[in-house]
Amino acid sequence: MTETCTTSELMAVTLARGLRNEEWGACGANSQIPMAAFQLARLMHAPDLNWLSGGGGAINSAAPLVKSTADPVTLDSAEHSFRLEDIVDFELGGWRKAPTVGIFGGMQVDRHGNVNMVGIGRDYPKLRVRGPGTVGLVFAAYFTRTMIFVQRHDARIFVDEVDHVSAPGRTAARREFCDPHSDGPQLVVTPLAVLDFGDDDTLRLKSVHPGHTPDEVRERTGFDLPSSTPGEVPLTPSPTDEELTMLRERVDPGGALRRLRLD
Amino acid sequence: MNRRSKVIDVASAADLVSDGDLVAIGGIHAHAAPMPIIRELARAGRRNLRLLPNVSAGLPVEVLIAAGTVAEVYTAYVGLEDFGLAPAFRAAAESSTIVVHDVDEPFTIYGLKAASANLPFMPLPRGHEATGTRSLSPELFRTVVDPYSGNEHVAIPAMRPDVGIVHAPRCDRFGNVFFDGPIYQDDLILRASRTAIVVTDEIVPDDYAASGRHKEVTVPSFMVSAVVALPFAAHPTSSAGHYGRDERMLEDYVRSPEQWMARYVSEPQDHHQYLERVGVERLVGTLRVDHQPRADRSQA
Repeated sequence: MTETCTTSELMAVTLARGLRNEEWGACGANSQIPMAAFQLARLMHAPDLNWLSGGGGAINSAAPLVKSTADPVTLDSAEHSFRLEDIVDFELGGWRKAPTVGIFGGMQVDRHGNVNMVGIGRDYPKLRVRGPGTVGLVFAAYFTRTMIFVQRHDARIFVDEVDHVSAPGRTAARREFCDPHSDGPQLVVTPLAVLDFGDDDTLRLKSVHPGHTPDEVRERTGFDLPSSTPGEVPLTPSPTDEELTMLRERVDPGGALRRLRLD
Repeated sequence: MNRRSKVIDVASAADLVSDGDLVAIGGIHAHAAPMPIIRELARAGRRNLRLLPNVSAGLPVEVLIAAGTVAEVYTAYVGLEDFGLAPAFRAAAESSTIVVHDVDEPFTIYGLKAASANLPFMPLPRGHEATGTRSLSPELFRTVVDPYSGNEHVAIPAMRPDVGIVHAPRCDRFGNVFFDGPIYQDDLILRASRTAIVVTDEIVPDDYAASGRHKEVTVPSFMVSAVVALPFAAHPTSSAGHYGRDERMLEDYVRSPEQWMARYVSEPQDHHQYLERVGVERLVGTLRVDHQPRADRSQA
């Protein structure tokens, strides 16, 4: 790679590499990084990946990376539009012809990959911080697999156990109630690092982004984070020249990712 | 005898909402919110409204809560997307001034779908049990046994709003609705609600729908009770094909919600005074009508 990329670009490329051809993917609101990942994957290795841009219902949109994924402009370059009824039917498992993958974030993520958007505090309904609500996180119980992304990495987000389970991670409840083909979260991509899961279904440190150290990541995570591989924790692979060119010239010529604020 | 026009003014439309009603609100995030009626309800001082907002609601719910009109919210999501948490919702929920029913996207959509199909409830495929949401609202998410397999499923009750209010970019005066952009859940809201109101930017000619455009009519006239036609009828949220969301207005709201409520909700006496306060420059700035030749557009 000849040019340096920003952290948000690295996150988009990392998620894009995690997407597979012929999958069906979806992201939620405020999701410029996942939106870029879907578009980039289609241009690179996954031309038959289909994807849904948030609640606006745009399928396979080539829209600019708008901040609001439900913006009507996403339909201008889409192949089809889903109504919310279509989205719910489909994301609960109806009509499926291919594996599905959801990319989402939340207010808290725990070591099992459970995600919380209800709020902070166990004493419900007297929450210390009332969150926005569970929205579509329930679909994590129905997607074939999911990837988690967060735009901030600290011990307030990465907690030992979430206060409320909005999206189930790799848990006993998943094994009891979900379809055996619904595998839960596979990867967590943050502004500092990439995390994956060990055989015990808890998070591990897979790689750190250039400019960051494993100690820093562990300090800013609220639970123990063993390494995925023996020896030194590797650096997150940088985008190739082709990926970065495709990302900057085709997916994000407006530079939305380069302007995105991450903490 | 002539066919009846359903066009009424915004105050008459607000009169269709009574204290204590279950009110569904269309759109999503800062898109297609029926803001003129929301502001009117806030000014009129309705009480104890129970809101069934769209699955990702923001500003309309904020305005109604800040004005003290709300008793309960069926919450899939109330927030301001890229502008963060919703301050009035957060304060009212944390101080228990309102009752928050934590639900989710399937609840709101299948609740409306059950009501519009005249079904008592909708069962969900297994999997919902792996979330904690049911334990937050056990009265809403009950279980039912599939009489064929004997398996237990989480169920969602039919949610029939007393009044449903949505925005559509275009409509005719009889109530045939053209959602030129995303439909969101607004077709379900109009079908399921006892009284269904559409706020629109543009009234199309009487013979427009029946001139080969039946596929563009997403919801037919007989599912709509009343139509309110106003310029910038969704502002500061977006209207497909007309204008985008007004991001500066949203920033201003987050910065000082109380001043914003006074300036844009309580003080203006009608929609035109509201638009005057917003100002021509800002309104024109939201327009997505393109006045540039195509070649120049990619530079923008």
